Amino acid sequence: MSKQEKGKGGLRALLLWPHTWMGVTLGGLLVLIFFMGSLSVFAPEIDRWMMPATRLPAPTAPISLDATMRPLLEQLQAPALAQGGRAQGWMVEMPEERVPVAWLRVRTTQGMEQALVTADGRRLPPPQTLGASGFFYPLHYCLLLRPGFVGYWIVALAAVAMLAGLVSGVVVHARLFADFFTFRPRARPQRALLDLHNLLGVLALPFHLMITFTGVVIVLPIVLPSGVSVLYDGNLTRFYNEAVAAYDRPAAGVAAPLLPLDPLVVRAKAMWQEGGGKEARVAQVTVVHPGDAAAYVRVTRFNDDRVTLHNQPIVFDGVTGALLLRGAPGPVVAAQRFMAGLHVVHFDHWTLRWLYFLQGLAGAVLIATGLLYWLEKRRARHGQGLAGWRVVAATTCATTTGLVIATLAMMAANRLIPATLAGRMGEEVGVFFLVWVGTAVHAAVHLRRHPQPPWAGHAWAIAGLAALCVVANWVTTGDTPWRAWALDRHAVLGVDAGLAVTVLLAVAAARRLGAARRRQAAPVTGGQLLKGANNA
Amino acid sequence: MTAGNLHTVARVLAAIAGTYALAWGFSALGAVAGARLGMAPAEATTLFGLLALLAVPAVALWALATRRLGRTWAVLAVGGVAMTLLARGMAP
Repeated sequence: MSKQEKGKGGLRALLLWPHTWMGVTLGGLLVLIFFMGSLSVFAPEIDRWMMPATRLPAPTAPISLDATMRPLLEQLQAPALAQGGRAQGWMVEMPEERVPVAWLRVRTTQGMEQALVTADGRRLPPPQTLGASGFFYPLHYCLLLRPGFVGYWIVALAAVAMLAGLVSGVVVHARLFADFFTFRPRARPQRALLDLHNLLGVLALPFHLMITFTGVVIVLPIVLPSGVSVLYDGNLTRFYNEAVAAYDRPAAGVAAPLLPLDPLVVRAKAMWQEGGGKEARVAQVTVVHPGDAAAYVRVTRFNDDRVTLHNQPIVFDGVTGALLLRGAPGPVVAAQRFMAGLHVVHFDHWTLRWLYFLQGLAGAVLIATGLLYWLEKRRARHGQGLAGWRVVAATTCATTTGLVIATLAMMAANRLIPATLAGRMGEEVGVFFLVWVGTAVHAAVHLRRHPQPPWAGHAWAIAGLAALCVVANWVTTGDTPWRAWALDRHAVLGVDAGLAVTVLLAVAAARRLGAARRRQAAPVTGGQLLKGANNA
Repeated sequence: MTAGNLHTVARVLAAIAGTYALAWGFSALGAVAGARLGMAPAEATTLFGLLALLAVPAVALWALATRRLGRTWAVLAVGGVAMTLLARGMAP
């Protein structure tokens, strides 16, 4: 951009360049983050769909840890202890309405063991899938790149660009109020795309600002560890322990019997309820050094009744029952925990969950329409012969429709590959990435011969795969809508309904795209005929 | 590499690395100062991290849109390094 160009339009013109180029370079990544984040809102429901054995009714009776879970925990660590190992810790993730199964984890000097069990203590086979909570969710916040926190850094960079994009977008599109009421879907594509981009940008602006900011807030100590470096010598664990009041002490090396756990849970509940409020439910119970004289028990609460993510840990001595620690963060950390809770929407509010989901998808569409608008404008100015144009066009296609296709392919693979196959977990992930790369290659090849990415073809693929998912679910699990309704399996019903809506939308889009292409193609054919007639 | 390209690279680097340096210096210095003034270290660390994050998008946009890139680089780099050094010196 030359100096003269910048001088003309003031701030608006100055900010157009960063707005455009942040979008073009990081737009695809941001679509991925927004799409996977939106799916993560319903991760427990998608998990039920992908793990049929866990489609269970919500636990109604209180669960006795001592009667149901403790024998299983001891059973899990028995082989390690028989080999001369020592028990280091137990963790029970309690079942709840949306996740009606418990995860038991046992750590010994010999390694980790885990088991999925029902609320009444029946052991379930391992699910052989990462599910939405183990795949879509981590893809959202760290791109599955955990070593060295690389993925966290990349996502945080994209999020900051999103924040800057939102702020600069408000300045660039100065007619905020007018944009709210302007959408001309039948205008030429460039105009309609920009209208939709502006409409979604304005409509969901508060949500997008909130969700992007709070998203970075969650990982802030990881991506900006400046205070940690000067006040904690860079030791992140020590910072977190102090911030959220964790407790630790070494094993004594002397055996001592562990107290029954249920009375400790009752005491923790009473402490949470001090000062009124409804009874809080237990989220996790952790026992560190079970069977040792220095054993301690940590109980955390479930936050379905409030926004904050702070789970008010209470730590008891596992042998004497004495209260060791009651976690209460300072005001700033409490505010940070509140913002984290605002982001992950664990509180029980179905209307808000749907609004999060829809506005998250709106974020993906906002970025995608921005990319498409740029592509159309570039084509108008430079033609599409440029290799750079085709790269951005293929990437845009792969990160929008291609991403949806890959997600649906993974869900279809989940239903079609038998869970009894030992490697299914990895195969599902393999299907996701192979199909995703495949859509990118397909788009790139298609663009060598056609003016547009293969939108219609991708839309048909989405419709076909989503329909396949629904049917495969009915056939492999027997959970037709009637049965799911009769058994109160609302999660299954909801995911199937979402897939059905996807089919309808994709078919409608594919038909419209096909009609538009025929309209565009018609005059060209006429012209060629005329030309042919003249030559003859 | 042409002068225009070089200028763009310098601009993008300023927006990413320069802004990060400034945010790092500010939040480190704030955390140390807060801790010195009696805040709990975890509280001071979190507070100035959050404040830095609030400023980061605006500073990055400034670096991307500024007409005088040299001055911007000077402010970001000198500010970031000076505050970081000061924080290290004041650290308990």
